[in-house]
Amino acid sequence: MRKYILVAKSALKEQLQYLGNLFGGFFVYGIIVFVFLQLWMYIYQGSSSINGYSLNQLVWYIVITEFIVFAMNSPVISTEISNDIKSGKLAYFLNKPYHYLIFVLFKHIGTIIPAIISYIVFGAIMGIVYIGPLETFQIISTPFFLINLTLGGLIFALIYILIGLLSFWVEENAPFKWIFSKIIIVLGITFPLEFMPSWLRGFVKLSPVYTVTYAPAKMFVDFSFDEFFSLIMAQGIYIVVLIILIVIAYRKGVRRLNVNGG
Amino acid sequence: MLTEVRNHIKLIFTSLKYNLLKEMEYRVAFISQVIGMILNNGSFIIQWIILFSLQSHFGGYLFEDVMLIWAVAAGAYGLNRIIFGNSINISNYVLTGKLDSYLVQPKNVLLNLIVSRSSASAIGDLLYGYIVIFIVGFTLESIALYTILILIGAIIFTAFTIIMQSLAFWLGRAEGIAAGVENAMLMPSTYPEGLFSGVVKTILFTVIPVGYMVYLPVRILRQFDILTMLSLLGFTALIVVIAVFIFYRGLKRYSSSNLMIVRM
Repeated sequence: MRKYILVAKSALKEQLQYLGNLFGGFFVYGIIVFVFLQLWMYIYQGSSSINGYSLNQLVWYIVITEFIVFAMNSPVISTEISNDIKSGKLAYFLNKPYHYLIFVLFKHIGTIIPAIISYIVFGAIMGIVYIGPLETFQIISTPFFLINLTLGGLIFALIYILIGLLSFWVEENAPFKWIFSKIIIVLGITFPLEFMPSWLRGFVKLSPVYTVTYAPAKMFVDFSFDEFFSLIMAQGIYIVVLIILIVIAYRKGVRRLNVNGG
Repeated sequence: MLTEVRNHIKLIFTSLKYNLLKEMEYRVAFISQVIGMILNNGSFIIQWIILFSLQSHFGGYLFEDVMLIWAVAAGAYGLNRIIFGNSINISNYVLTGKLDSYLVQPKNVLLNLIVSRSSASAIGDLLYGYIVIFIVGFTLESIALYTILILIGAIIFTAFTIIMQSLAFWLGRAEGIAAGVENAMLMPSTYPEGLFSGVVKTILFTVIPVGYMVYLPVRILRQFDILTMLSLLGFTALIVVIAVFIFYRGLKRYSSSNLMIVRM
């Protein structure tokens, strides 16, 4: 385990050299949440609550979902795996004293830590400036929210790893990345599950939206133990299934790896 | 003067032809990018269906009007990326010294630079715009008007991009700022203008001219008004003049280390 922590540490150190890169992201993050703020202020005119959410809760919900999209992604999971497979670079990792997939996961974790910390601070300030402190905030719910957030981030990474491994079979895995990110952006950011029509809810509950963005954001703005346990159960199932799929895909894929020269 | 304009138009079409031929070299990738972008824009319809289940209109805009906003935004953005697709790389060229190869060519530097690349996926944006216009049910006249308006929108967006990217002449690394401001322009461009008011609306019609790129064209498409059209044309001329002035002002500060590259 120590070797993987070392991988995460060195990725973290490398990332600290480029902290300035985060500022452009802050600006875009701020603009996107601002546009949604205007949208929801318009919708909430004359209503204190819609589908059980106040305007204050809904804006904070978006602050959290956007935070996940901005801070939890890294080129390590979104492009490096695919590049390693397509270029044949993966062959160099196979005889190393570590497992490639765990190496990638820890490198990703090290890479996103500075973004997570800085986006949390920026997001919190932005949320307070835009709409004031979260009215339903309970200090007791914070550890549970952090558990949901961590598991949501892990599912996000595992899905990207699985998509990356598809490069063993398809030359271009971009359409799969695109479908995943589109589902998250269209259904997972702007509004919670409760706002969706009943015909869509079933699909969303099975989709990654439920475990990646809805679970942590819901636990932050509207915490309840009942919901926490059902969400954690869904996240657990997602993680187990994804790990099984990743292991199968990796084992089968590595056997197909064909590298010429180098 | 007329010959010069003709030469510029010829340059635009020749570059466009070769850029598109280059993009189409890998047919499957090209087609999947175009279709992918159409689906990408189309997927936001789900979002608006849900939003319209909460509210019957947004600042007086009905569902069809929001689709019209999407058509204008996607069309203007698409044309920008198809015809003037290299405008987003100015700061990178300034920083790396790649501008040298354009300075020695017997063509207008700025025009030659911005038309030298096209984006395949942007064709999907442009097609999406026309698909929406056809679905919303427009006449031949309004399709012609739509084409003129998205061309104007593309010119405004290009001019704005040139201004932002030219900051690199003074600031060095300006890619992050330029990309951020560009996003600031695109994000509100797909939402009805009625959502914004006061200072924000003023900003959207001045500092970040999304009002002229999308909102005024949509107003004209909904109800043609000659005064609105004239103010749109006036603003377009103004922002183009400002963009050209800033670029050439910055170009005087440009220096490189004799980077050797070949433009193929």
